[in-house]
Amino acid sequence: MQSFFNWLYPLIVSWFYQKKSVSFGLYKAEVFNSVGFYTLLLALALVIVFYFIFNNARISLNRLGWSRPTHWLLVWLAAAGLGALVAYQVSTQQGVAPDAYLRYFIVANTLVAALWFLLFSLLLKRLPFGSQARAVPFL
Amino acid sequence: MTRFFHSRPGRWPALAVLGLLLGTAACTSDEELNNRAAGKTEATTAPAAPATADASKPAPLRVNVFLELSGGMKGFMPVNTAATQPTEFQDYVSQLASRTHSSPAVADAQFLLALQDTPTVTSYKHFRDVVQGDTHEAAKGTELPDMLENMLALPGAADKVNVVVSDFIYGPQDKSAIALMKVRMTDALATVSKKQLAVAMLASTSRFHGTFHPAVKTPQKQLAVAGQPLPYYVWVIGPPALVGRYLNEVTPGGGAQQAFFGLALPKVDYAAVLTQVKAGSPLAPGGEGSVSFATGEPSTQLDVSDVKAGVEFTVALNLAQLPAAWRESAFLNKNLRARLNGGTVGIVPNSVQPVKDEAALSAYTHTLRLRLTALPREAATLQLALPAPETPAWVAAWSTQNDNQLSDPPHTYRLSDIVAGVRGAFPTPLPPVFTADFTLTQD
Repeated sequence: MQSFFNWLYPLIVSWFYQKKSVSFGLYKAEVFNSVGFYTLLLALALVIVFYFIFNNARISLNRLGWSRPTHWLLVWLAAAGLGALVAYQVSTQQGVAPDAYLRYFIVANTLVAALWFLLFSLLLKRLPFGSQARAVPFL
Repeated sequence: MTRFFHSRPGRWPALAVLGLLLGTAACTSDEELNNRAAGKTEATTAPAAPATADASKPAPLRVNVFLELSGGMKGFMPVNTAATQPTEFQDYVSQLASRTHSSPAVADAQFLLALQDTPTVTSYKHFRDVVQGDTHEAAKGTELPDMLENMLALPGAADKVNVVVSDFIYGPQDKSAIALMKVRMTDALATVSKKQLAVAMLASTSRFHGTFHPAVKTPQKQLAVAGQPLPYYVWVIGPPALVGRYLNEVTPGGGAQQAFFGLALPKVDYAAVLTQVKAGSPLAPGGEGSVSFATGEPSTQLDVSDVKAGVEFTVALNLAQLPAAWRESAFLNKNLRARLNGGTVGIVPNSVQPVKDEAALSAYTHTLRLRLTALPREAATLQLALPAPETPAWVAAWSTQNDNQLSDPPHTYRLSDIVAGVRGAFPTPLPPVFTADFTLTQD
């Protein structure tokens, strides 16, 4: 999994920024992997919260009526934002240099978080756990 | 429940997908945790590794200590009274013998007196007494090459550390042999060449009270010396690793000059310092480009990018096995070399320094900084090496053509030739003291 993240993140960052950080070694050793995992779990958690808690037919929360595409979009943006936050937090905690690469890595993880959320949404929303929002974001 | 499972066939694939996802997530996170745990333990045990290597180091040293006991040596070992100070020679050799006798690094120490042709085994106690002035056994000296040859011919001598204490005055009986001094010395050290042993020379001076027998016999056959300093030498001959260890762990400090031949280490521990320190640290990678471990885990396989912009990183070395003189930052700064075929690499000037309080690098003794500015397209080997220094300059300064008069500073008759003979027992160029290789790949 580490090698997957070590492949994915440099690839996405390289779309925006061709240079590598001085701390690239640290990114490869720790940061990509930790951030990758946290982001994956974050997206999964938000998908579960949106479809199977907020919009669960048997939990009274669904009376809130949060089953519109707009609501999904809001959670999607939250996932992306939290992805950026995770990238920033983990990176600085690991002690990488605060350079341009870090900024583009945060951008990259924002995209990755959004991507995971979208993928998990499409994959999981039809699971038989009583989601009322199967039509969201689209059929 | 059954309602869910029968209502829509479309759910089955979705369920399978969820299972698969959770499964892979669980597996990978497990694996991940294991990896992390392994990485963590590796990181924590890494500094401990050399310690365990120390503990499991091959059998403790076996040492032969030879003292040349000839008429010419008696002056270094006068009988002292309550009012006289022992000579520096007596201080140093007593301490050397004592440490060899009691050091935990030494399993078996044998003390020998080089009297006539064959060295005589003696007890530590008697050896100590001899150094303190009990020199009545002193015999006519053996010629230096013969003495060395006889010592190295003792059974098992090539696997032991042989310590020779002598004034190393070589005045051939046969005057025609003077021209052959070098060759005679090299021949005497044939065992050293064949078995690839190392020779370390420690040179000092000591007050001398008695009759000095110069190698050059005219105008005087002997000189009366009353307390002037004369040179004496301690040579340590044996397998390189053992000689290094003996020098570091047993010999007392304070020899004036040193020369080493054949002291090559088969392996030193080294590592690129990339992820071990935080970004702000002066030891963290620097420059405009980047360098990283190819697999993310610490290794000697490095990925480098943007070399043109300049890449700087730190290498940590464990040089604990080197003799103290070679661990000096000044010496290392002057002598360490970095080489990269098809690329450009340099050691940042004066960047070699001892490791200070950096917990992550406690397994290493020194750090240095490399600067890469060009890299060939294909994978290349970066080699860090300490070329073995040639004969140091003090040898010529301590050497004289005529020792028939006392001089200040004191000299030894044709020391240059003797040392050149020792040098002749080793290949040219001398093999490097150690090398450290990294494989660099353009990322």
